[in-house]
Amino acid sequence: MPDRPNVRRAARLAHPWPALLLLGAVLLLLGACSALVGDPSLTAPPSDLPSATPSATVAPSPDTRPGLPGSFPVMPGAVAAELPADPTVIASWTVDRVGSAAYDFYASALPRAGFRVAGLYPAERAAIIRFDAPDGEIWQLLAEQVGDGTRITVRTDRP
Amino acid sequence: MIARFFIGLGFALAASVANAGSTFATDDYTLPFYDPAVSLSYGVDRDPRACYQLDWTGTLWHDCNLHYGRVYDGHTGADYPMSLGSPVAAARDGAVVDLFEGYGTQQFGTYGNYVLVSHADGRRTLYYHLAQNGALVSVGQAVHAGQGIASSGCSGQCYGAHLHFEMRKSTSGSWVPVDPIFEQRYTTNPGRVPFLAAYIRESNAGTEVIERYSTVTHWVEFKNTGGRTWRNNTGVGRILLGTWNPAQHSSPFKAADWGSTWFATNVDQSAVGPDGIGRFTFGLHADVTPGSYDEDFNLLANSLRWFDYARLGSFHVPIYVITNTSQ
Repeated sequence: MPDRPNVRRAARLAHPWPALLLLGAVLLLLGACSALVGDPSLTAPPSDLPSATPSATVAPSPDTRPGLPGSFPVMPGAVAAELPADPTVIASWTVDRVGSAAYDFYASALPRAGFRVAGLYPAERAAIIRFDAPDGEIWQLLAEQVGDGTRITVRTDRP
Repeated sequence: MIARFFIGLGFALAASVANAGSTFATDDYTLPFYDPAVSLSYGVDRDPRACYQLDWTGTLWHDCNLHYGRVYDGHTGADYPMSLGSPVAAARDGAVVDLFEGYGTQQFGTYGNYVLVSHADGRRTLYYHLAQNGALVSVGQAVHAGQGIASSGCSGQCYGAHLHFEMRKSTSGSWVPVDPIFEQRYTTNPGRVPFLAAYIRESNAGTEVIERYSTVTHWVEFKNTGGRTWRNNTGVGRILLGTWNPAQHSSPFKAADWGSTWFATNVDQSAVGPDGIGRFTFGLHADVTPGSYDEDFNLLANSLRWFDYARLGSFHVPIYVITNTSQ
């Protein structure tokens, strides 16, 4: 009696194709049935199988960074910059001007676009504007002098 | 040790500790502007090493990043966000020893337009990034604490209009930037604006009912929430109560004890330090047609600046004048 399960398992491992074909047929049948009855849960993949939808178990990558809202203002003349691997960086541009222009633009454009400014932190060669992100978090806009221009970076909040 | 001790403490607690045992003086430095809502953008980096930043709370950051409200690497002063044209005040009595006001808002030099003030304690204060032609003083001129000396701007290296306030002291023959907080030179930490008050109470918070041709005595108390000591025996900076809305209007309720048609009284006490309560006692004489009146008053630092009336509590005295029954 103790041997019977092992024999059956060995047989299945030795001859997997019939079982797979049978499983495929069952899945097709279930799929057809679900289409008929309109229950999408029957076709949903098991949660432990790979899915096209990112999940919390996927390691952070540039693809997981928060998206910039469509209403987010972009400074005239700004050129999109390549994003670093850091997933907390949401967007980045450069402008060929140094000084207060980028800070001034966003200090007024952000509230006009509906983003409440939580704090203004001007300085000598860089400035930070903290503002409310759409999901209730706070993001930062960093304007910093880089060579003869200014790099503008939107990123999640940090101290 | 002291730096580590401050880790995690807030402004208020740090203030009380920083001032403990110091040569604290009630007429010491105050913040160089008037709006108490202005907060620190970046303070002094007290660690001279590159990419090591020791901020005013005692936190040591081992990076080169900006830390808003705290510090950025190599910073020698305190940055305060101030919109263009905002008044900049002298942090303490002193004399102007240098200034420049020729730069526009492009990036010229590092500090742009500035005013440099020398103080009797041997320290100097600098006010950077000022507006073009924004100086209100001249070299050699004596200035009083809280006196407007310039308009703020964004000259020099400037990402966003702000005031860079710097304190220096002479060390081994050269002027070295120091942190006012750790110099223990602020009246509070990180300092208070020079002139600010909050209404506490008055002799009659309701309507003063006055018989025509008679006088009543009224007093009002304010808390000194600013950084300067209130005095009643100095010329410039003496704290007095005057008519408001509009300022310095001739009052129909001027009594015999008033200094002028609009100047009701000085503060009663000879000195009221920060957090002290100052009382202002004055007469109200009714020489007007019976009826309802309302007289507004505000505090004035003589020859320097009116207080913020709204933050003062919008002090006014409702008055009802009745017919004199004895005549």
